[in-house]
Amino acid sequence: MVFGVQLAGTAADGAALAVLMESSIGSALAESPWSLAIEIDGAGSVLVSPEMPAAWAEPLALRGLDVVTLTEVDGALVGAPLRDGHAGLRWGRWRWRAAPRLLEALRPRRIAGEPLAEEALFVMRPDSPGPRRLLERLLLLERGDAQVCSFVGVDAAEHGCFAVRVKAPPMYLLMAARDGEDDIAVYARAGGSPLWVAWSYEHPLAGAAAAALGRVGQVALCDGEGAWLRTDAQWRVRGIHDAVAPELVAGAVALRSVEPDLRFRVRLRLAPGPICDAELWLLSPGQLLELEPLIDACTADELGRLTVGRLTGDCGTVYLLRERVRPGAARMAVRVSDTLGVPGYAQVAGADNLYIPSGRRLVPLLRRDDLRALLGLERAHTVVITEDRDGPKVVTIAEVDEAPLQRWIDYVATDRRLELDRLLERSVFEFPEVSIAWPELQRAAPERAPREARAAKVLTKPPARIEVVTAELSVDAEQAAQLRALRERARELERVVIAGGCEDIAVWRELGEVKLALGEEDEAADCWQLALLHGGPPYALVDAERLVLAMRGAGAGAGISDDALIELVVADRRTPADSGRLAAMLVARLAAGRPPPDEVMQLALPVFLDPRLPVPRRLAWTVLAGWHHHARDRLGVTRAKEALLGGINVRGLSELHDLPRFVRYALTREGEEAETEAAEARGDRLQQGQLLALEALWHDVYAAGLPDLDARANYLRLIFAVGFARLGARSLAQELVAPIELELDVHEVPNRALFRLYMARLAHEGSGGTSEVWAEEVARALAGQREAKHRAAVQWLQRRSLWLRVEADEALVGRPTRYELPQGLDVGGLAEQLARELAPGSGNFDFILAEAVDLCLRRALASGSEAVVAEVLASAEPGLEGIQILSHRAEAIAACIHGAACLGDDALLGRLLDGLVAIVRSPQLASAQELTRAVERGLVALRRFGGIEPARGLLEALAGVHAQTASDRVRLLATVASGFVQLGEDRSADALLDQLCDEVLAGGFDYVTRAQAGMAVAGALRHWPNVARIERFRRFLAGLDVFRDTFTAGRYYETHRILILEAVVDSLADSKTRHSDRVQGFLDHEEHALRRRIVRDWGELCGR
Amino acid sequence: MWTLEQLEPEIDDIRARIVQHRRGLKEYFVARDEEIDLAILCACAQEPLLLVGPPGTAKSDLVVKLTESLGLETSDYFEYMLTKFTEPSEILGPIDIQLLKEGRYVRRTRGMLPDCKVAFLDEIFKSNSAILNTLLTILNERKFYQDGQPTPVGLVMLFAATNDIPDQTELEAMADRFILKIETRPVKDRHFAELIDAGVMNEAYRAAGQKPWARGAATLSDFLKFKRFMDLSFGASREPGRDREMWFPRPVFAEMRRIVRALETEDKVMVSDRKLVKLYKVIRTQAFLNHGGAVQHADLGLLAYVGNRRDELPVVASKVKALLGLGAGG
Repeated sequence: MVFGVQLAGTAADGAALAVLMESSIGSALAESPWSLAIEIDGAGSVLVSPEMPAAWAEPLALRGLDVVTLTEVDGALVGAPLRDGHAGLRWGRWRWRAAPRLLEALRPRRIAGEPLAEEALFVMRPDSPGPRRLLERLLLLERGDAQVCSFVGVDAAEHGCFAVRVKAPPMYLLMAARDGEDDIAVYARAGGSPLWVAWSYEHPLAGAAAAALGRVGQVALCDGEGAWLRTDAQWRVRGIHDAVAPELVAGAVALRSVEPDLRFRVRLRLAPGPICDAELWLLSPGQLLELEPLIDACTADELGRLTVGRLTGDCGTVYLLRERVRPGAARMAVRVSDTLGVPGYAQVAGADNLYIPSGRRLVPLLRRDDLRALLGLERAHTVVITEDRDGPKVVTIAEVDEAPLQRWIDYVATDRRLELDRLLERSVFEFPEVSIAWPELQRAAPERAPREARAAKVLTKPPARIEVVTAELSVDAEQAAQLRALRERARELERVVIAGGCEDIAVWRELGEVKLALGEEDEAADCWQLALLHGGPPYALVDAERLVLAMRGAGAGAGISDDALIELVVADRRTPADSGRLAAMLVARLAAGRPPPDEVMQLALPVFLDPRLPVPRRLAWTVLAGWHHHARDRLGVTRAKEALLGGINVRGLSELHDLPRFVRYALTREGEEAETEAAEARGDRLQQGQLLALEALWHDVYAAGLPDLDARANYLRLIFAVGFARLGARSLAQELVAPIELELDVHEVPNRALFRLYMARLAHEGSGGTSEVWAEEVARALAGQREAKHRAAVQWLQRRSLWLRVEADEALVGRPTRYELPQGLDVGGLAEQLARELAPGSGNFDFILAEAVDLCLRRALASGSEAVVAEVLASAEPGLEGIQILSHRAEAIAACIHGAACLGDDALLGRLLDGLVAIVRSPQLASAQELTRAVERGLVALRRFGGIEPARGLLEALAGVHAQTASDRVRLLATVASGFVQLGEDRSADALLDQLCDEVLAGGFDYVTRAQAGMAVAGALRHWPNVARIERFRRFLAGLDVFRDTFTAGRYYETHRILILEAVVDSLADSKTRHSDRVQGFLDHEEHALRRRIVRDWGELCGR
Repeated sequence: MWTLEQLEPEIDDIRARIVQHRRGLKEYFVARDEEIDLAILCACAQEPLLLVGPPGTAKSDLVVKLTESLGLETSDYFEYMLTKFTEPSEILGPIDIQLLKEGRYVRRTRGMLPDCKVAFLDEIFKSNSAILNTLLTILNERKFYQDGQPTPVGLVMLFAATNDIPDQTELEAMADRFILKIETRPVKDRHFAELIDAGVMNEAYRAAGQKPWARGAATLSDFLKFKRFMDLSFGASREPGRDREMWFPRPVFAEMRRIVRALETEDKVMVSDRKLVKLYKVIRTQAFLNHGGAVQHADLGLLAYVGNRRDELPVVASKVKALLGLGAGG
């Protein structure tokens, strides 16, 4: 009788086998031969050991195993259970398999479906088509990571076998192999087990089997019926690519390279290109004269940026006008081109001395060397490619002697008045025999001198600033005394109006008269415009006539002809002076009680409604209000009010048009006469003053010692050199960097690259290159770094540096606006739209909400309608609390402050400002960056709309707030200090700033905060006078060692020190900010006054 | 309704006409064979087809020309661009006010989606949930509810287009109803001149008021008969597995299984049970349409269009082509 243990081929077998293995029988017979009866039509099997006696069968059955006695009955294998309750078996088809030990006798269990395999082994005969096709398929599936090996030997099949091992094998190939394709067997394993089991099967005692194999150092492949194929544990595997011999069935063609003998003629031509500002103009003598209006309107600083050279050639005399581009200064190209009516020429990127027409580009793009050779750039000072109907023309300028435009100008008495006054007064009392030729005073009528006559003056070189001639005439001391009295009176009155917002008509009238008496018509025109504005309609005839006189209009009062008006109204192109003259004449006609004809006004009104019209806004309103007052047109005046206010809301007042020239002059001159002021302060407004300050600072640095071969010293030199180059002291800058060039090779690779980059910046500042050129320079420097770590070190500083970064790096900081209003939305629907966006549950992100508030308010302000602004504010205010992220809420509040300040709604302003202060106090505030931006915007709005007290209140509240982080606190306080100084609260501002300087230099913060705070303070100091700046920056330089860092790049350079140095030098070399603060202050006052005037005039006409 | 006996004598002619119709339609497009093959197949199988692609890739033009080529009455064709503000009444018809006064909630469906035979819905995934739910019922059960009562719809072919398939759970059900989705790509890079030539000709036809593609070889009736024949032949054996044994050779069936499994496990493409059954029927329909007999290895190319998400479509397409290349090579 044969006893056997029946296995069902299910998960339950695991428990049965565990019992068997734990039993004394199992452990005794584990290494003995076993036989296995395998059910062919099912998953069952019976384990039989010839050494198992009957005495052992009973205990196994008692322990719950399905022990059966096997017999063959009628060709079927029948198993009778040893104990009741167990099912027997009866198999029609079966077969026997012998195994040397128990583990190898077990039949693996089939797993349902297609399990994922961690690793698979495809095994096949090497002489079958299987290997080739499998390898081909794997390569087609881009599985070049597969490995192959071959087996021969005792335990392997007789013919040997070829195996392919694949991690994460393709399911398709697993299934194809299982389906029997190409007679490939596939095995899988997990966790690097030495037991590979046929894929989609699992061994019932896999753990024990793996352990057994591990002990003998073997690997086994177990097929679906449990038969093992053993191999050594170490397989000699190869990459799949080593196992294939690729072949390409194709004919061979051999070509060999020879020296090229063909040259193709390619025509270089000009094609439309990106619009860019011109830098150079080639002018005929006549065109040069047309610069006069621009020269009239330019500041000395602006004139200093224009140079002129005189050239001669076959085409006669040509003048070369060039703008020296200065970083940070507004470009003059558009003004020059507009004045001249010619577009000018722009520099070609990569070629320093080649210029082509602005808005054109050279095609095809040539290599720089080819371009140089073709156009002879090496031999020429400047090459300009011009074009006309015949095509391009190359103008080669071998050499040119350029001189500042100022040297080509004859200043006449109306300009540079102060110097002339002094000279005049001195000459009266000290040199009685000398007379001053002052043509303007002697002329009878305000007619302009003939252009040819003045041309001689303009083009005379070198010019005499004041023509002093001896004459036999006796000195008219009375006239001189009268002149001096007029000057003094003018200065007194200017002092009255200089603060802005003067609405006293008598003051403006008197100042206008004085200016007219002094022959300063343009400035007189400003005064009469302001007198008319503040007088309101109907206008006094005398004021209007004086305005016409000052603006050189034709006729006076009622005498102004319709033809003269029509000529100006229908002109295709009007200069700013023409527009101003038209306005003056229209006002004069209205004031004279002889209003212009309706058809003239129908054409004229749109001209003055255009917010871009280059005349003062006050003049535009004077015309519009005067006409609508005459016509009693309430709708018209409402439209005019909205157009004017909308334009002002969006653009503010223009420094060019709305700032009277004497105000600019007075602001520049302010303090010059104060004897107590230091010389440094007097030089504050001048570039020379900046240069002196920077030199003084450099002297301190130099005195402290600059060791050779020291990277830190080199960075100092380079940063100061760039500063000097910015201020025009190029030779000094070159002197500073000369030692660096000598020792360049001894420095670390990244430092070398950065030194070169700073030197390139130096050249860039000098040549006034564009941002694109700089971006290319940086890209070249980075591309030159072969090692990634070096490149990273260079890029680390380049991206952070104020001067080395490119626009793209700065753009990373910016954030595009993502909120868009629905197409075609009317301003009347803004409030409703905003309410919808802000409604709870709208699902909008906070930044979208902030942008929605901002955009809706901007649109409302641009409409000029206070009702619309009020509606939008009413929609916005309740939703502000719904913006959870505080920085975004601050942005939205700032936008609302802008709107509320425009409306003059003090109650709402108070609530909004409280909201802003509450945000600063909140512990949930993540970053102060947006907050400071919001505060700055709020302050600007408050100043513009006359909210000085609320602005002061906000600053005081913010100064007392303790922000959550040190960095936020410093940034906020720097903003507050700048705000104070712009409001004229110098004492508070100084105290705050000194406190910040102390804190930064005391080294109390962490490194990053300290550097950020230092840069914030340096940035804020731009708003201070130079003398205050240099005093503080000396402290910065003395305490430079506190700006440390722990960055990886620290082995090459000290990032924070360099950034602080840049900020210091950049701030010191900035003469614009403070001056523009003062100009802006005046414009803010003016805007506020104009706004009130507009509302008052409108209210009177509309009965509001 | 036609019987198998009635259809059998003429099915080969019908098949030939549809194939000729397909060939004729291709002449008016440049490099859109794949899309047209699929559209004709879906028309035969009466399965909805989703065209996914950027604007200007002939999605609408293809459907419009196909419907015009069938010579449909105006009332048999419904086309609408859906937005999130589209209301159900815009596609299902307005509520009948008279009946509403009587307390009945009935839509006037004349000329609307429930009443038409062929429909084209542009930007289908931009519609709101009310419309999507109604469409699901129409696609699944070919009916919609009038006053609480299910009412059969006459819709035979549905084509939909979208620029993108939103990755939102609530839209998965709708996306799954489209067994086949094809990505339409711009062809201008590879067929620059041909595209311009064909475009100019189309404009000329339009200007002259001509529609030469409208003279299609097959009619809507042919498509209906073809579908009826296929339905009857699926059930002809009345024995599970018989159709597969007759028309789907084992190696090809095994190949299909391998590919589906590979897509599911390796590319996480969801092939629902419903989709698998429909795929089988569509593949069978294609095989019968193209060569009138058993499924061939190349017919499994349809599996290239089973992707669900936008990013899946190109991956699945290239993978299926690669795997079929393996099988074909084998």
